[in-house]
Amino acid sequence: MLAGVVFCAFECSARAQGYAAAIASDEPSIAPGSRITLQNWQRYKQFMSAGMIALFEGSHFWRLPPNIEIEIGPTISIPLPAKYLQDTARYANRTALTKTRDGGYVPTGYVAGLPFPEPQKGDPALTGERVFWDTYYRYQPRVQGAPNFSYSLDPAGDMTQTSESTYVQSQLTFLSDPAMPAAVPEANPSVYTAKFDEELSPEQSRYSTLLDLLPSDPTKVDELYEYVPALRRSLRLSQAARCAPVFGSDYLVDDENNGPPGLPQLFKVDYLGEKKILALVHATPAAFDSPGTAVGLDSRFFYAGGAGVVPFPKPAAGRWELRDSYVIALERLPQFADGYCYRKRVLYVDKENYFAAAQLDLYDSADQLFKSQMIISYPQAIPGTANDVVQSVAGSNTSFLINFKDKHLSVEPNLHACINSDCARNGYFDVSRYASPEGLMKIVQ
Amino acid sequence: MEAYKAVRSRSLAILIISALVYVASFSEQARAQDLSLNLADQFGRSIFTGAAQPMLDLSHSDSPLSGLSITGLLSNTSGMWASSAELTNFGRAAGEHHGANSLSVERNWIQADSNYVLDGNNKFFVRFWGVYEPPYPWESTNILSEQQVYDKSQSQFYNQYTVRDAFWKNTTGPLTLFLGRQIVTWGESLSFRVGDVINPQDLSWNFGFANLEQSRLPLWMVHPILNLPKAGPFTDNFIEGVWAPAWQPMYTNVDYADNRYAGLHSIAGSVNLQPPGGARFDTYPYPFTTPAQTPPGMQAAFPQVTNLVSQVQTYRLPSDTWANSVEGFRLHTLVEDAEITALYWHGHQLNNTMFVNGTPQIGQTFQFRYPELNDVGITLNRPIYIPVGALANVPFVLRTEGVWQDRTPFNTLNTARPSAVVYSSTLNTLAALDVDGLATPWLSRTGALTLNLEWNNYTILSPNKDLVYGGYAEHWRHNEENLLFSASTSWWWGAVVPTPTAIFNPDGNTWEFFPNIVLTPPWTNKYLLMLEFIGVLSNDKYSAYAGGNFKGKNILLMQFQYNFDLVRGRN
Repeated sequence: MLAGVVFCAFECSARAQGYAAAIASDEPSIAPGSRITLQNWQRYKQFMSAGMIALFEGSHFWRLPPNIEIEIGPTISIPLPAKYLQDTARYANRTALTKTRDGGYVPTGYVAGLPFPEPQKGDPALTGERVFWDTYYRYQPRVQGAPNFSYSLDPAGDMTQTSESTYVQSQLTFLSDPAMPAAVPEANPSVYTAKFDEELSPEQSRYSTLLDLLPSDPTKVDELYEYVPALRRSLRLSQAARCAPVFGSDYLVDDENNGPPGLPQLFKVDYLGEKKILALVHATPAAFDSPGTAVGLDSRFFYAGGAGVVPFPKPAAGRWELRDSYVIALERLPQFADGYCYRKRVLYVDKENYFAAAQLDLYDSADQLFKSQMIISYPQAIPGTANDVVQSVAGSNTSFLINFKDKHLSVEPNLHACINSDCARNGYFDVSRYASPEGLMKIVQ
Repeated sequence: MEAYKAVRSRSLAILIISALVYVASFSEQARAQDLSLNLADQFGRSIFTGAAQPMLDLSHSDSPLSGLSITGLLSNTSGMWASSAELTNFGRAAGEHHGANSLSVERNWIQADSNYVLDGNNKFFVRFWGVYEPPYPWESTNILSEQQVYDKSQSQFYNQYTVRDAFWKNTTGPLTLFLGRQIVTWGESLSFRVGDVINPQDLSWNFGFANLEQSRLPLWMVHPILNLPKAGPFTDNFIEGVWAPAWQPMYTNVDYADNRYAGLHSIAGSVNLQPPGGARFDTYPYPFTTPAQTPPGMQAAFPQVTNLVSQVQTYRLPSDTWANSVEGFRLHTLVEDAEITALYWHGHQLNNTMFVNGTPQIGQTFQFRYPELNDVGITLNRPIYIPVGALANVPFVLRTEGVWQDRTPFNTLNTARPSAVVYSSTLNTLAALDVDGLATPWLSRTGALTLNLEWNNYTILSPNKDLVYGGYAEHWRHNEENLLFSASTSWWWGAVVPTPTAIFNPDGNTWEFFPNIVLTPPWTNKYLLMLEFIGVLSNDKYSAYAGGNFKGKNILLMQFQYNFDLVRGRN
């Protein structure tokens, strides 16, 4: 009861005040070395997302393990890469927000780097839009690839490794990598990013491969192809159904971009303010050596999951830190809202590097908390640079999508990623193999 | 032949033992390299619980074997006739006799895939198949004719131990070359063979429409794919070629009781494998082959045959010569949202055509042949986006294809054609509309709904009115239509996946049903169970194109699959 009142105190007041009151930017910090437990968490809830608060409260089926401990460390900088910052300085003044006929906004003139390096400057009504597009175009290397795993945890407490795949992500345009052109010459110029995901297990779906081509025009929907082993060729798919569940998981099609939804021009983006948010972004690298076992995550680094219990990272997985974040909320424009899967998507965007998915809350049509995403990661060095690092989306991260409404949970441990030249020995630079439909003819013939 | 099999069995056993010894010896090295390997623990976990955990993980080692992965599955399919008593009459008018035992399928199958990654540019793939099926009581009393008694030798017919796929993939610059035994599928259809012109099918153990994938027969071939530069609006361009010799050896599951392939084993794999005469998956036979067998008022399938000197039918497969190689190419491009391919294929028919050899004066016999052909085709697909309104969130995808064939052989009732065969060009087309992954919370909160509708039209361009289905006296329709309906969704995060599927042909109101439901336990993905019904309803049991000649062969089957992961290497 008390927990419900506390939750509503946050939720209801936030709703009533447009979330602004709940995310003032001048909260005190947490001293490194502090430990957050079930006994003292309320002292720190101002640094938590709504999803994290719900987990501590245990009011939405999912809760944290009873012996949970979150160890706080110092905030360590994760700056954007030097070349990306150079491109930001060079091209940022060319980018402008243009209002679409439907009332959304899209950037025009974007070349590379951050489109809006100072998002709070300019029309205050568009601050959220500027933060969002910075997130959308945040730095990603030319190639990154990693072994990816999926687990599901059902209401009965069955935790199962449901799949293993090889994931390769290729950025083909708007590149900011040293010694590389802004666009890959041999690639289709209308493609921004290619996501290639080849299943390795279970055996019945081995070789199944999804190729998702994100257009360089963000107002267009992705082009999607699937290699079907039973057909020995690819099938053309459509991503028009943004709310369709991804098979066997809690993700919907619109959840698969680590923060930003597809067709962002159909959304209005509200800037809710700034907030220091707890995140595990300097996780122990060893936590990404192995996904764990067939029935659970690596017990050295994660608590055991169970019925209603989230397999949360243990202190051995690394020390959490406070990240200065922008908070934005995306809602479909009224004319496109009918039938859409979420009422609202709240992103906590890291102010330093614009990574948005360390914490993410999703609300249903009744504005109730539906799901929360949490990604733990560590920044990986970018080969060929002095000291640049990146939070790879392909690997070196573990993603939790907690489905409060359906009492189900999906976890994706993605192991150490290869980045740029490290991927060469795997052949990941081959656009025709990993970033075009031609590659789907080269899996199993 | 038996001696050859024995030698091959011994060689296979030695090879497997050698491989296991080698892998085991390597496991010692792996242990030494602190791979934290506990074989017993891994084995137990791998066998009994959870997902695919490899027994041996080499992916982090520095050995040349680190690129090796061996995975696979064990499968048992058990099926029963829906009405075996009824089926004892199947083909009786044509002289067949069958038992009333209701066991229709007991197929035990192991598939093992070996993938070896030498480096980013060189990969190897070998797929092994081992199949055991016991003698079937339904077939044991089958007598197709005096010459075709279903005896003990044919009871081993379905068994096989074979390297199904085996190829080396090399990438050099824009060229990727596949060399070895492969399956290459072109076209757009999920269930009809339109642009899918390359590989023959094994139709002996299952209805082809019920399992198109597993019925494919790989071919030894040279298969290059050359990336081509962008040209204006044409992106993602490539050209793909296939050349396959007539030499396509096959030694298991071709031991027909009538010895039709005696001396032909080196080329037996180049054409479709038909079920043995009168066997479980053979079609309903037409009882009146020659005028001498035909009662008054009925039509013989081969009115040209007035002096049949032997009931024995011979087979003339494309012989092992350069001239009988098959080859073709396909061009691929992407224009706007449309994926377009154009193909050319020169080959031979994969299904046989029954020719009459000889003349009434010297005597006539039947011979099955596979005449040469040329195919020219085009395919196109694209998603259809409806910008506003209720259909904006419906993921439509349009797929179309068409293939023109220059010289398709048909049997004819025209007695002026002593061979009983004439040729016509044909046009095979498909138009399909998919709804691909529609969110339907009213049906399932955890799964999407996928719908497929395919319309296949097969047009004989000749106006000839005498064309009949091979071996039957029923006339070909000049426009044959097939419609496929399929729907699929899932519940409980993929644990329950029903897929009702049916094909309809207006000829005889023929329906082929093959709905199935796949059950995967929430606690593991290591094993699964599929329940399926295969049913054929028709008012026309001599309708060869529509499938009416399978009428009444309804099967309820259950398939259990167990996955194994022996060796895990880097990918």
